[in-house]
Amino acid sequence: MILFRTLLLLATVSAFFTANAQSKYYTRDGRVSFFSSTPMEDIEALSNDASSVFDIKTGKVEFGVPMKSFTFEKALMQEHFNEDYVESDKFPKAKFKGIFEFEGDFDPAKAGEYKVIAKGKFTLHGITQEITEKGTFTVSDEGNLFAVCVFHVKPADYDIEIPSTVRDKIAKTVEVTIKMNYKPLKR
Amino acid sequence: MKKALQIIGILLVIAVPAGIFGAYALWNKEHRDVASEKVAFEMTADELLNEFEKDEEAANEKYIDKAVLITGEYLETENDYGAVTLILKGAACSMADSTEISLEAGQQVTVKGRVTSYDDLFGDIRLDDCTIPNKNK
Repeated sequence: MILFRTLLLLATVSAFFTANAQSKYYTRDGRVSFFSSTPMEDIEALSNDASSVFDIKTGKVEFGVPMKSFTFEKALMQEHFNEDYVESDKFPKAKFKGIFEFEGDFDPAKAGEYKVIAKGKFTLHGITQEITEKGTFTVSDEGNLFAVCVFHVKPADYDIEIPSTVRDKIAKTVEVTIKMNYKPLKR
Repeated sequence: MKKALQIIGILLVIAVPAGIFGAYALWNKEHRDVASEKVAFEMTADELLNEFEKDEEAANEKYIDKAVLITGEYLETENDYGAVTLILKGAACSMADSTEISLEAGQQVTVKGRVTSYDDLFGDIRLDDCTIPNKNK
């Protein structure tokens, strides 16, 4: 009986872990770009260093990007971004923690495009805000899982102060595009 | 009065181009070239990770944006959107260019790069602008 129980326990535990391992996806090269457009100037920045873990079963997703990994066309812009706006020495990462809610069923084994809503807490510059944004999941014929989300960030919502001298050059709302190629998490 | 104006005129002739030149130089300031920088720290990936795990804030202050030379066990390479990331035990290194690097899992590798953050999702250190110095070859 004890042996049976032990076996049952082992079976349950291993089933739990296998299920977990299979339902989790990750990326370490997520691409994040943002774009600020005003009549005075267009500013673009890019990072390829976003990390994310997404659990298909529960919809739970976590995401983080190092602020110091954003590159700008001009070194000076990059310096201002880090030192004056996002204060990346004090707040090295932007993070998102929440869920992906699919409109309808999501089947990672079936190629196609799926609409998704990302809901959760977004932290930037040490300030956390609740956000709800639309995104798309694409399952390719090869079974790759691509997620794309475009959302809008108002620097003012995150206590990012733009000095009056450059106010005309930086948009009130910055468009952020996140692209992730999720892979099954082996570990 | 005339003399004063002359002096102001001469000063303007000097100051305005100097100002424009200065502003232009600042505007076109070069990006950092981590590969050619002298490193601030030289250590194993484990040692660096330990410092972040012990006290993230203190380690942020000490290491973030600094050029470092770290040595660790190579695990795998990731390649998305043309960005190559070397995954070491304890560190994820985004390479400065997308040249393929042939390494074998388990081998020790030394990478030069700039520390960008502690990645709490994967429990390792994130580095950017990474290159592999010649001494590996």
